[in-house]
Amino acid sequence: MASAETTPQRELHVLYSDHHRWLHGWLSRKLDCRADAADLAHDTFLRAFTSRQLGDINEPRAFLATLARRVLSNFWRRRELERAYLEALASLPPDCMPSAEDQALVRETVIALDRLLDGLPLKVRQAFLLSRLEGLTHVEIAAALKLSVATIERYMKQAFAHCWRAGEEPV
Amino acid sequence: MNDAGTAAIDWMVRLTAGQAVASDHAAFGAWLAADPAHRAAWDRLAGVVEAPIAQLQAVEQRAPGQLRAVQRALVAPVVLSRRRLLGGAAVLVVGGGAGYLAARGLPLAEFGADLRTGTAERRALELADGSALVLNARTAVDLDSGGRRLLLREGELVATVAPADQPFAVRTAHGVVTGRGRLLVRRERERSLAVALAGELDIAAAKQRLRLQAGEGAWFGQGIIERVQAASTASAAWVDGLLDVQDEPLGAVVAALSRYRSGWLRVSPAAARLRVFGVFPLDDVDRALRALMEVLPIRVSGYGSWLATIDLR
Repeated sequence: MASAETTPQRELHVLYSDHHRWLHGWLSRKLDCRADAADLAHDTFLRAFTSRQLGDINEPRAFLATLARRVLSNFWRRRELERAYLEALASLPPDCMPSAEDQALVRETVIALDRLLDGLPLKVRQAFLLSRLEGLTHVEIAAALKLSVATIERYMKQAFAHCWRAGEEPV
Repeated sequence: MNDAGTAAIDWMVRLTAGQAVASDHAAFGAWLAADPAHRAAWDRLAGVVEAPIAQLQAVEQRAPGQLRAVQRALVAPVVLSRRRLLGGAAVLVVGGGAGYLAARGLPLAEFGADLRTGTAERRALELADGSALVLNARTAVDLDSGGRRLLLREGELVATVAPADQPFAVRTAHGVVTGRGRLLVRRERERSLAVALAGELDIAAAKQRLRLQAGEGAWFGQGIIERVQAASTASAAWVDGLLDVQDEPLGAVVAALSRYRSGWLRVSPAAARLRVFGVFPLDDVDRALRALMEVLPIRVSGYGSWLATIDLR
């Protein structure tokens, strides 16, 4: 009898059939919404599939839970950003409300910017956004954040270096 | 990181500091041209930084305020609390939401306007020249150092002008209002309103001028100055927390009420045309909505939640 050849697909299938229901329940308890739990469980298995040799895993549930926590964290962060954006929208005059398409564009950009700036300290992030979004000069940012201009320059350098690392190698 | 990358970063810091002069730009151009690796490094950095910003700026043209909203969203505190996400959708608890906006007094939100009021927040203050100013909710005003010249960026104000030689002026995107006595100015997206509450005022807009006597008002903007038909002193009732409506469309009433309500209050075009008479409390928007529901053929869905919509019944 030929030995069962393990391919990534087969490993994933085994992981899925053994632990999918458990993972869905685990996520449901953290989310209070079973549809979201199903989506996030799906995302978690996708990550598992692309992450490493599935046959190597000794503790599949611990492994899946670790991945799922990251997926959950991204999910909550995304929801929090959307909520913060809607709240900021609510403070605008009602006749400045952007169209549904524009709102979707802005929402995607907020999430992209958040991902780009992830890892930067809050003050660096604030300085960067005041500069690039509001067009403030370093002098103005220094006044707004009650810091020295030299510190703002340092922050901007740090932020741009961070963005550089996020950029692709030129072809 | 290679030398070109380091240099590209330094250039970007220098060129975005707000103090670059022609010689800086010339030196930058020379650096770019000196080596293809320089250009490649610059393109890589600028590509990452500028692409999302460019998209936002396109939207900002169509709907002003988006850049500010994005900035606020990205520096808001991260709250990974389960309770806030119950129900799945991004729903604000109404009371908590208003408190969050007004009480937190985001210092960064003040930037770009000398004075800014939040949702449901009125503010009364005295200017350097002794004039008294009252700002409606969601209003942003810039002052010059003497205090006699104001830029009303958004919202609405009432000014009681102290006598002085220098004229007292309120500018909006649509024109300039100068006057003595007591005057009201409101800035809407397409036009502004000026009402002479006591004393005369002058409106200068798009090469036209109009003088108003006490009790008169006019809209100005888009090259036109147009008198308001009905008596307009009621339009300052918000100073006392009241919305005094004398035959205005429901759309205008909703616009006034939504300054006092955290969240989004929408009205269908058909309902917006209904004519309204009455006095409504601004500091209790729910009560105002209930009063409107009693006298108009409307229904309010999502009443009490973040998004409420008014429709014909």
